[in-house]
Amino acid sequence: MDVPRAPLRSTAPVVGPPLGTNGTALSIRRAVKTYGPVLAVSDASLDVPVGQVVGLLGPNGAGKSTLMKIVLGIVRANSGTVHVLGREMSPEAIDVKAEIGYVPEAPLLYEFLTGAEYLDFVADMYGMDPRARRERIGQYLTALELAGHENSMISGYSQGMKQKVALISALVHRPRLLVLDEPLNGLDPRSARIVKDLLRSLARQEGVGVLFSTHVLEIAQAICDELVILHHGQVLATGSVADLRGRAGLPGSGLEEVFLSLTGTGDLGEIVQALAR
Amino acid sequence: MNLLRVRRLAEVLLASELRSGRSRSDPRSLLGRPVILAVLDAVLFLGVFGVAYPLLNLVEGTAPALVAGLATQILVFLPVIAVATVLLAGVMFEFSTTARVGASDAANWLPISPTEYVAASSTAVAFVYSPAPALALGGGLAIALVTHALGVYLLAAALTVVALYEGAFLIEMLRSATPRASAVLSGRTGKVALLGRAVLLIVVILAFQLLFNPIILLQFLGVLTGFAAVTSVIPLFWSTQALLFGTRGAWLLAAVFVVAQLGFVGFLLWAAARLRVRFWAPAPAEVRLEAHRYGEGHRALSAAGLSPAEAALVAKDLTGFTRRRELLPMLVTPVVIALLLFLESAPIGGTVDHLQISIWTTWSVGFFALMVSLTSIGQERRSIFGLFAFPLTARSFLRAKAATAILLSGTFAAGLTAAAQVLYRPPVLPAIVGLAVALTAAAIGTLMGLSVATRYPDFQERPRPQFVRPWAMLTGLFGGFGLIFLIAVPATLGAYSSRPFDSGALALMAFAAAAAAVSLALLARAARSGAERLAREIPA
Repeated sequence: MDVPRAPLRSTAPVVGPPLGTNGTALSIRRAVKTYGPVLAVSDASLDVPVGQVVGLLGPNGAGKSTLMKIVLGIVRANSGTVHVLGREMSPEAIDVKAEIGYVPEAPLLYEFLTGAEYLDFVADMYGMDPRARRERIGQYLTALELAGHENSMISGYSQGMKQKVALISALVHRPRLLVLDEPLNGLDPRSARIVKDLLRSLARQEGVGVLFSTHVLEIAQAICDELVILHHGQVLATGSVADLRGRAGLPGSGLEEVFLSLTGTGDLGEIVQALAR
Repeated sequence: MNLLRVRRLAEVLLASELRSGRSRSDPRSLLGRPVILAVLDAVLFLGVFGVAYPLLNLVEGTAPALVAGLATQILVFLPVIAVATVLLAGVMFEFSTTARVGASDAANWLPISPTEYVAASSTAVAFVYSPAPALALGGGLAIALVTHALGVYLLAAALTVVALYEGAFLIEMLRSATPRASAVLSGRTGKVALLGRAVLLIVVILAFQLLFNPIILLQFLGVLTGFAAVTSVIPLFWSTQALLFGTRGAWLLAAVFVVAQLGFVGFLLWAAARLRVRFWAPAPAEVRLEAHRYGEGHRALSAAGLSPAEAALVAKDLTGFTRRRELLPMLVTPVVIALLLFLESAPIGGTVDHLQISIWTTWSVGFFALMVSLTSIGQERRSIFGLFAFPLTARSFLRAKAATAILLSGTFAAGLTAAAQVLYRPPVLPAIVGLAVALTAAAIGTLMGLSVATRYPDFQERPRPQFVRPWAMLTGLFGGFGLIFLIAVPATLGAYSSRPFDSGALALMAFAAAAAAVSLALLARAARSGAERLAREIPA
């Protein structure tokens, strides 16, 4: 999909020096987050290099969504640092937020607006000029087969349609870092394929860094340059699929076996047998 | 009807309401269990009784006729007051659910009959609003013991419990009727249809409030036909009629009206259940609007000094008021309250009290501003996470929320002042001062509401959600009322003084102006720090 890179008319206040990268779009160092007695993220460190797609894998409750919210500055870590495009992230780092696109675990949309009204609202938030937003929104709507539905209220959309709106709102301002929490949830195969190809293309051609969480290991294997396995809030392993196979001592195995072995949930036979009884 | 199922569902609905705040989210906590309401009722009942009984004994020694009069003036109206409380509070608080949750999707798939659901939901509503009747019954017992009217009191207490259910069944009917009203226009498209739907819903809620509000009924119908005729014919007052006969010792006639009242409440349960059968799970209507034009902006809001992001937020919130069913009661409730207060200050066929009207106008505007601002943060629901992922500063967020509340409450202030001007023709100078004070109340209500709402928002979506934690809502409301009266009373007294330019009147108005300036400065600071705190970490 060809989406032109038009300049943004930024109305957000610049609160720091120009953003650089040093080759790293995102760098998290020793992040810790607790919710009362619950340790959600424990001493987690990871990097997302410019132009790479990094997959964040982990069982339910591993801390993936919390870690992503820390990256966005909407959840404050108890300790540790987050640098986005070379700048320390904080809730006040408005110019940094302007360079991030975010798809949450479940679409956080205003359902009383139409798809078009919502996307226009998002464009207002990023201070995009009217022509650029018109062109880009139109292209994305067509590509994801939402054109013709954009003037209906979001409350009447299916789950997949809402996910597409969330994806467009993350991409429309052409961010330099994408933080995507289960972005392919509910998408039909055609749209999922478009999004996967688009993410790869944005990373390779535009140098966008992508942090991508998913439960679908085949997808992670297919599009991620590097994988990070998170378990009980801790980073268990980092590397390519081949690296992880080596770490798990399972050469030639599929990612599912590697994942189950690394997260200590490999022996599922007994559980299944007990349930079947 | 399976009573065990009804009880379990009622417990779940009550727990959902009680656990709205984070501090109450521990299910083992007493504060998170329905039994806390029974404890609260008992404490309030005994507390009021403990204060009222010795006091009334004291008064009875000096003015026995006054105390005897209380028996007929208060005891006989206890059930009607309970219905009015449930209806007023119910419309205000029970509709803060989205259509999806309000349609009870979480329970619809379970094997629960419509009657069982209505009974459970009504029990939850009756329990939630029981502290108000508990207060009244505590005072009522003191009156009954002093006036030796224990028999009438016991009947009043029983009828008050029935009345709580009467109000709750009416709320259940309204719950079903509003989606129906909203579906009337679902086949049509366009912004006009959406606005029409909002107006229709407002009319339904308003009509409901007016039809079942005893104060309004007595004011309007009482003037036309007389009190006795109204209480005999209108089912809402059958409990009053039964208690009146009870005070006269005519127990047979009292029994007739008690039976009639119970029959009416039974009919309401049946009607509420039938309505639920019809609108069990309304399908979400696909509403299509005219083609949207991107980047057109919000020129009027931008011209008022708002940035594009702030203007977009205000426009989004204003749109929500016309399209979100759960926000509509907020627009209706202040109108109903203002109408009641106007009737109180200028009874039909009675004398107009301009000073009282002016103060109530200011209070109604402040109340409206408080309601809008207190709920404005929580109404973002989980989208708040998405909002703060955008490049939006805490300052911009606050400015947009304040602009929305001031725009709405300022318009309400202008409308009420104009209505009072047309209906009651107050003198010009006090009317101008009144408008200025009402606009100040709008600003104070807005900033007080935002100071509280930014600190204690409730973003969860449950069957019975609030937009702000309940105790914070009460603190904000009463704190706001205190400040508004502190400013409105001296300013209005000064303006209505027989010599408005003498030193006494001017001193009163200067005090009000100084109090307003200090309050606004402090509240602005509190709201700013609250917004910054929220932006730093959104409550989970």
